[in-house]
Amino acid sequence: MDFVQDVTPELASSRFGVASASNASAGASAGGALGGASADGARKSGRARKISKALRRVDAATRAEVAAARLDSFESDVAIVPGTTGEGEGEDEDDDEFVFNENARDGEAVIVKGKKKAGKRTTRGVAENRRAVAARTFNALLEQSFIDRAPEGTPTYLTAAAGPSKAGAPRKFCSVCGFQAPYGCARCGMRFCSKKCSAVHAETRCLKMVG
Amino acid sequence: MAPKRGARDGARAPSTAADRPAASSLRGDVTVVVDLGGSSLKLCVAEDGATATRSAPNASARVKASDGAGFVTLRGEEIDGVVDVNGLALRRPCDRGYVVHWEQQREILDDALRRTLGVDPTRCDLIITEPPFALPRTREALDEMVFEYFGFRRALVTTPAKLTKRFADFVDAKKRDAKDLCVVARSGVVLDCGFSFAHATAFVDGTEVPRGIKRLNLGGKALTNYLKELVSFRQWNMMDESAVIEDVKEKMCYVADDALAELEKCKAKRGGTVKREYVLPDGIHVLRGFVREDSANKRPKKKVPKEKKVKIPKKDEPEHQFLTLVNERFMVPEVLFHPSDIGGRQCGVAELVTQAVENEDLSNEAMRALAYLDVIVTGGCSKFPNFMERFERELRPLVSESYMLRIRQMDDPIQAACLGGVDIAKDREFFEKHALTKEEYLANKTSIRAAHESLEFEPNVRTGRLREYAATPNLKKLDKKRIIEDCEKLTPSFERDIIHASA
Repeated sequence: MDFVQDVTPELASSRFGVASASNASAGASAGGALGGASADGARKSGRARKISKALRRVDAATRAEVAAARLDSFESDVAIVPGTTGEGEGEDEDDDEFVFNENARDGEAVIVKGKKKAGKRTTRGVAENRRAVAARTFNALLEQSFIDRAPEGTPTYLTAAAGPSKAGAPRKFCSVCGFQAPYGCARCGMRFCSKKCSAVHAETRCLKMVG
Repeated sequence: MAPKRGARDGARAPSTAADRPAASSLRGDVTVVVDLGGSSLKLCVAEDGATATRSAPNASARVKASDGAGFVTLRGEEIDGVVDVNGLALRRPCDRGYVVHWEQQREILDDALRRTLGVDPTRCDLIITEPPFALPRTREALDEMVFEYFGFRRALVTTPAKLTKRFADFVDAKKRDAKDLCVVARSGVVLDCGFSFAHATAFVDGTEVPRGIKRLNLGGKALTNYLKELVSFRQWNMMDESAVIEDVKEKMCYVADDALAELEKCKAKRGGTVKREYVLPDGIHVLRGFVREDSANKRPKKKVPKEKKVKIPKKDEPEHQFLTLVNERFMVPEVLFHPSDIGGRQCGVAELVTQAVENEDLSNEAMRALAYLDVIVTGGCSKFPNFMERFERELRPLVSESYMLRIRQMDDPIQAACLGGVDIAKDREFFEKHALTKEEYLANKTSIRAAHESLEFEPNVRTGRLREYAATPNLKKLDKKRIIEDCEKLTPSFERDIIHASA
């Protein structure tokens, strides 16, 4: 069975709560129709089969998002452990499950809104706390100041940011041990240097990253 | 412990003035210099001279009261006296280098001024720093705090870079030739690797070049958090121990000449010569962590009596917890030179300087040459061992060979800006010409606000923001000819355009 799947843009956007349930079901029915038409011997049962999380490939946009969130977390005073405090939009997406519809085309995945553990994660205190902090950050102030609307050529906070480096491609270091890393994780793109580190990565960091 | 002050209505000075210590016991008629940093406040009374600078964390912390009942809030200097640093969480008024929690900032500053310095703000002048390109609302809030909450008589707002440059040229320069070309031409670059970010600021003729200010969004805080993340994944979970990790970073990290070569060294057995152990504070026997002395070279050599070796230290010292750092020691500061190592999109500090100099405002070759002649490095992150050597090695290949490069580091990178402020305060004429008085502020509040809103780099209304770092030096004997000659001497292949520089 070929498990390689491409997360389509709609699905990727649904990670951030954009895609609605109707969208997903539309995709399912369309996929079902197509799957029925295809004559490659697919079984016709409507049984949905879960793909394990470990096989879900993380697309480039999400990888960039996670990397940016990590950099952002370096600027905070309090510890933000991804997955525990629910920083960012990472919470809801977890409840969506990737499901293989066997009637669908090969490799097409559908999101089924999960019902499990919906209210379990965030306690009210945490949510309120987060809201209070969000109102008083520099980024919030920056948004309110509208300095991006300043006339062109005016030097502002935004134009003062240093540009990218002229030096070549970024160097790659193992996310587990810190040495140079020739390999990358097929799922999430993080680097590792050896079989041993790969195992550690798969066990600890790879799942955490999207979770 | 002082009773909690009315923080919420802090903006109205008269109502809060009542419950403060008696103003009569405090000093007046002095100039206070405050370098309002993201990590620490550096402050002093200018009249006391350079030796009196104090530094206190610009933060507050809630810790258990010593009598065991409830919690108390510590601010500023009090935090340095905390007994148990484990789990000490600091709340900082600054986010990304700019103050956002103004009530908290006011309380911290209030404590620092009245208790630490013992001055009465309403009878004092002030020199205070603000990072470049502060947002209009941040600027307003600063003005409001200075004049309405504290009620300073006269204030001058400036950037740390200007004060550092002032210090480097007028105080520190005494060690060198005071008539040095860059002092006369009032040009150069200041690289300030601070806690929240690194700024490179190009100066020409005593003023900052608007497009010559470049910011790298990486500083000491990011490095600490990065180290925290590495350590937490590899050894102990230290995610709540910012204060401890900050100390680990300061004591153990260094800049490698060549990170990749250094990594190879780490692959030696047991981490080779790079490995160091840090004794973690346990709050009972060890209150402040320290680097374990003998951990580096002895162990691998004395392999044979292994069993004995293990037992002896246990008897000598109570069971300590160690934090072993190997490649983290240099890979963390390495991020400043290669932000792409952690996925940053910006260039490193060396390239930051070239971006600051090679911009459209400095199209003139001569100006660029003059700027490269005096690269001043300051800020807490420049205190990493080997930082300067590496910085020079990185910067030299990025700068055209026709420019001569001179790099110098401040002796005390953390206090330098504050000391520059002391020097400005001594120059009364310059200070009074540029400072904004309380009366002027209250009379022109709307126009000052409008100037902030318009994002003008050099506001045409007097807003109390300093433009130049110094008045034009006396050029009686040092005429432009001398500048040209010196410049030619120092930059061999440099001929044309020099006339423009002096024009």
